[in-house]
Amino acid sequence: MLEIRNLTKTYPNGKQAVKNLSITIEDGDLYGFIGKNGAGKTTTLKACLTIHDFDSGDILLNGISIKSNPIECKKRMAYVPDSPVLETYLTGLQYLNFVCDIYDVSTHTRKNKIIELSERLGMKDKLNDLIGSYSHGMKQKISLIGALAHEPLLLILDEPFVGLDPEAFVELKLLMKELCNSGGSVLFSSHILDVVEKTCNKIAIIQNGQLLRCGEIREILGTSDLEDIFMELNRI
Amino acid sequence: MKIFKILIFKQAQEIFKFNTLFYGDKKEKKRYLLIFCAVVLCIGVCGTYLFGNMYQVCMEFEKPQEILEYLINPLGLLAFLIIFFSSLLKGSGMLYSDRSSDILFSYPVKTICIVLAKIFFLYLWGVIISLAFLIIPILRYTILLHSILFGILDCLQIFIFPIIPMLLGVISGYILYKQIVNIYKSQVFVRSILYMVILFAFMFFMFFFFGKVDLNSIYRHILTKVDITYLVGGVFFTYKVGAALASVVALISGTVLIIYISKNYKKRYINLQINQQKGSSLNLSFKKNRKIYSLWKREIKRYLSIPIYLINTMLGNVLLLLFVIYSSIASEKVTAYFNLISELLEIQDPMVLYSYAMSLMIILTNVSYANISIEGKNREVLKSFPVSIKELLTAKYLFHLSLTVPMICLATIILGITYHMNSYEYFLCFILPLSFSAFAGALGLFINLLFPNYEWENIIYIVKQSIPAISTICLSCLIGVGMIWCIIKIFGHSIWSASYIVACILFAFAFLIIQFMKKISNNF
Repeated sequence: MLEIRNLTKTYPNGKQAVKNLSITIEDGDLYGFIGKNGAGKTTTLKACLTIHDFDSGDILLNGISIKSNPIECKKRMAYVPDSPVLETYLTGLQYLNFVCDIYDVSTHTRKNKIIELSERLGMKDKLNDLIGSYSHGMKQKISLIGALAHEPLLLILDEPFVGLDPEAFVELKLLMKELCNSGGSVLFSSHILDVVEKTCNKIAIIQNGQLLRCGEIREILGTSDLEDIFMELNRI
Repeated sequence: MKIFKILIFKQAQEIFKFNTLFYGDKKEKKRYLLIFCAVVLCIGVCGTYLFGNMYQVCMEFEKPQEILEYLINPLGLLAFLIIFFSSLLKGSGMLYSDRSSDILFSYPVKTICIVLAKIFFLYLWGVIISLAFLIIPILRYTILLHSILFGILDCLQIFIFPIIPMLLGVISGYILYKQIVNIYKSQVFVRSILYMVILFAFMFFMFFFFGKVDLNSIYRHILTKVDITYLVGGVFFTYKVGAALASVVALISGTVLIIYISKNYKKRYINLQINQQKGSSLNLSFKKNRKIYSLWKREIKRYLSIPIYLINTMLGNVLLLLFVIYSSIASEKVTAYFNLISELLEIQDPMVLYSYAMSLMIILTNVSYANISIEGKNREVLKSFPVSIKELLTAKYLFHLSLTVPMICLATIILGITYHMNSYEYFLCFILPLSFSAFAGALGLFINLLFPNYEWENIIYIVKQSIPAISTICLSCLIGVGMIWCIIKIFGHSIWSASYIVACILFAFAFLIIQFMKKISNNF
């Protein structure tokens, strides 16, 4: 599905955010991406959507390079940033319709998906309210509905659980699993190690832009838990 | 007092942003220093001009009573009104729309301390206004009175003078702010429409009525008919006991008003933050639109929801509308005026001037120079969508044209009917302003893409003060005026053909700029 090959990214101030990073995400993978603040997680995720350019390496979605054909790749992906920056002057529904128009979602599909997702995330009554009046968690939910409404093959989430209420927290985990069960994949970064350990089948641990460990979670953990492994790797 | 000082310091950091100078990167430091120097220079020039003039005027008076009557009283009233209205506009924002108050309420700090810290700089502004208007007349008044003691007291009273207008302004500002918030919450575009109506009414007044207003006679009328001696200055700045009494009353009233504001502050602040939106209906619409249309619609909605953006870029349309209205009402006057211009510039056919006037006005309505920077932090989400830069720029360009083209059409039709234009004149009135608008729009987009700023904190910066804003307006006006000047001076003998050729050249320029934009699309 998604192949990150030798990704290297240096910021204009000289800071090397990602160094020679390679990860492969297969169909059906629920991939957790963990690391300390400033480790390079967000930079990597943004590079997957060409939000940031990268210096060397390549990112391929189903064999198509994101560098050479970004629009085709992005049609099959969806992204939810860590802090939901949305158009505050639109209502929730107007924003979702806008996203669906961008992804060319038919009227019938968008109606079904938006109603279903907004009911599951407890947003149906708020769809006609201005986004400017939403709380952080509600904005996050609208971002998630927008990301899932066009049924992406790959969902990329940056700290998706921040600000969500417990109900939406559980629902999001279910939605991620459902997407993976239907053949899609999810790549998400998180600091909540417990969630990563319980929901993901694969993880990647990153430090100072370099990959420390990646692969099947069972193989990485063995008999330990993720918290111990993470602390141990970061001490090195 | 210690906490008050800390809060004042925080407030100063927020307003003056001097941390940028100490901790910002090189680019930020440079920009800060540049802005700082420009502001200091402006204040220096304006201050010198004001004080110089004030000194000259003051030296004309030989009697203290005259100074009091003709300068201190009216200027005191003016300072009072300026302080009141600036507090009305700024004070409510400082107190009630600043989200940082949430965290301040959680600290072990008295509400009165928070209120005082928040309005401290407003008070300082009031003192500056009072000093600017009153210090020289008061010094002259004191010298003429030969009373140094009262002079010192009068100077001290300048610091008491702003308290009442400032606090009254803050209280009135809250009432106004509450109404605006309620209107805004019920309909997001109402505020923009309101601002637009105010701008139009202001321009209408300035163009059609301001010339008839005789400020001199109004000033004299106020001085002779209305006794303002005991309104403002006359109470505060005299050497009578009344002045001391007025100061004491002002201090007591000020304290009462401060206590009143503090007592209600928390409750009012929270009430304004609570979402007062009425329960929205559940009529959900899921209509599918084309990508470009959806992007264009988003631009329109954003434009109408940001009044500052709207009123700063609508000037051309407003001017054109006023021109059309005036031309319809007083067509003979406009014709006579244009005939006069055509005689002066040796233009054979004055009808051509209508298209030039329209073109020069419409060039002032340009939204494209801020249209890329305005994405700000939203840019990352937009970049994650499958939208090509070409589609995005097309939507933004169409948005620019959709603001000017209907106005050009309307103006052409009305002017055409009013002045009985033939098809040749009609078409030029449409095509020339359109070419100007198309060119200015493409130029704005290009410059904005060349110098984007996605890290803005205040929209005023990208709409009014950024490099793309200034350079686009200056360049498009220069090129526009230059082109028309060339037509008149060089191709005056075949002015109609030359005008059509200029329209074609501008369209070609616009096309070339759009083509060249693809090369710098990485900047987005």
